[in-house]
Amino acid sequence: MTATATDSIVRAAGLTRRFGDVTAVDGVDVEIRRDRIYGLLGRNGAGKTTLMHLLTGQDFPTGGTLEVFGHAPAENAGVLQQLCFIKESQRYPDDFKVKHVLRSAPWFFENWDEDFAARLVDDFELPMNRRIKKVSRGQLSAVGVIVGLASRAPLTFFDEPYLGLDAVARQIFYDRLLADYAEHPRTVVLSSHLIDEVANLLEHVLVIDRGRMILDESADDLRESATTLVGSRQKVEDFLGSREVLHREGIGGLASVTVAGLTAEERQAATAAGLELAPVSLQQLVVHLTRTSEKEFA
Amino acid sequence: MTAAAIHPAAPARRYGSSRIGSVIRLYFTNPMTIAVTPFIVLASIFVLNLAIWVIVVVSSPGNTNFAEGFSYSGASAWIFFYMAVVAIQAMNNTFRLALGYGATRRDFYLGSALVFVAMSVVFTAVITILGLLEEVTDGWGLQGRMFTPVYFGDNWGVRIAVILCLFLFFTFTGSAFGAVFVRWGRNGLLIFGGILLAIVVAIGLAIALLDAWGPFGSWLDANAPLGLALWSLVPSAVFGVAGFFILRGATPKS
Repeated sequence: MTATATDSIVRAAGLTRRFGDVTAVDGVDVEIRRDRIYGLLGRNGAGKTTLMHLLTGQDFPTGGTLEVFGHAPAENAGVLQQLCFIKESQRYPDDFKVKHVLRSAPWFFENWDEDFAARLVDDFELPMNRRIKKVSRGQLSAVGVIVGLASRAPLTFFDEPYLGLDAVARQIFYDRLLADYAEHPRTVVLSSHLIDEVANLLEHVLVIDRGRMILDESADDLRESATTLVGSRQKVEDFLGSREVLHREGIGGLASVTVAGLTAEERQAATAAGLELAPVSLQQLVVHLTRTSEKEFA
Repeated sequence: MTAAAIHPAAPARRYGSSRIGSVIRLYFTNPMTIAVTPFIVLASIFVLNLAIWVIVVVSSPGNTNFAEGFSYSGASAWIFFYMAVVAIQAMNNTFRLALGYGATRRDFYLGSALVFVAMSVVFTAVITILGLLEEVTDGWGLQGRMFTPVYFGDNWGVRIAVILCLFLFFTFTGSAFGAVFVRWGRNGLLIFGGILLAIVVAIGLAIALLDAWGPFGSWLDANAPLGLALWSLVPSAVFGVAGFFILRGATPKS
């Protein structure tokens, strides 16, 4: 994948945010390119939200450099007008009803699509006349999802946008996001800890742990970087030898083991040995990576 | 719309257009809080006052002069506090939403300040007109004084100036307190309140040490209400400007 100079819309180098003696974002280098869907993954408290606050100019870095659309985002109207940041903790004026959010959002997002917003309201069965303070957690999340999708901002951030949404509603979100993204390509950064659920949406994966970016890879490369071998325990062990095991599961005489990337010959050898090769789950990879980084820093 | 429309090739498009107008509209998205509720409460208090005047007049047969007693009315004071609360809440919740919508802190504050000034002017006009009616109808036929209390002065020019200065003082004090809360939280608010209190006490102490309570009292007498109202523009301006710089460094956490 080759990137031209204009392809990159976010560049951070050594980006740092300290709160007292806590370093929430710790020397992050990252580049985000246009028209891709990024997953920002990591455990609770890993720094996902703080990083998004920095990238959207809601918070100020304490170190490093940051450019979004070529400029520092904080207090830069030209940059901020191209962003949409949907966060789980968004607050609204006390007297706002759902309809007031959808009425006011278009004044701030110039690509706003009124019809699309109306369709999404139907999809999520939102009560337009209910006060924001009275709606359920899931409905509140749906309000954010609708604003995030209908704003069609060139760079859209969704920070854990699905809290309280049931499985059906989450699927609606994923489906609408993909369909609209296909028609109106833009850059989406989705933070999540429901990793397997969003895995198929993602084109690029960023994993943050303890404020550090520990993985920055295309989803395809990442999936190829590991393989799950399934077969009888004995055959699996024979094949493994001294390979590094990322994840291991077993039931009775069967074993399922995830190992780091295999060459084409190794894959043939594994098949010849009677093992089944299965694609690895993104979740397992991330869990493994964050555990490893935990050990290194312990 | 195509991808090209979303990602214009040239970064030279209307870069950095202001969102001040959008922020102003944001305040009127739900007009209840700003444009309806205050008048409902004002009307309710007025009806309550009418009832009280009737009670007083009916229970004091033989007494014909109520205007002076009624002129020490604090009934209209609540509306100034209401405005302060509106400003505090704006800095808290409306600020967080405006930032979520991608407005800059600068545009948010300037838009908010314009809304507060406009509201102050409108409410001043309303109270002035109601005060005129009060005078023309001889206190609604009861010698009642809700919109022309003694504190506002006794001629129309002075009243308008005093009421407007009061509104500006309360809204910008409210926005300064709101900005402090958003920037530094509850503790910041306590410290800010403590500092203001310390300043007031220090002034009191200085007057006492200089044995100047007498002259200070006559200065107040000589300047009330117009001079005092105009002097209030100094703290109002200080709070207004301070609010701007405090909010510019605020981050909408939580």
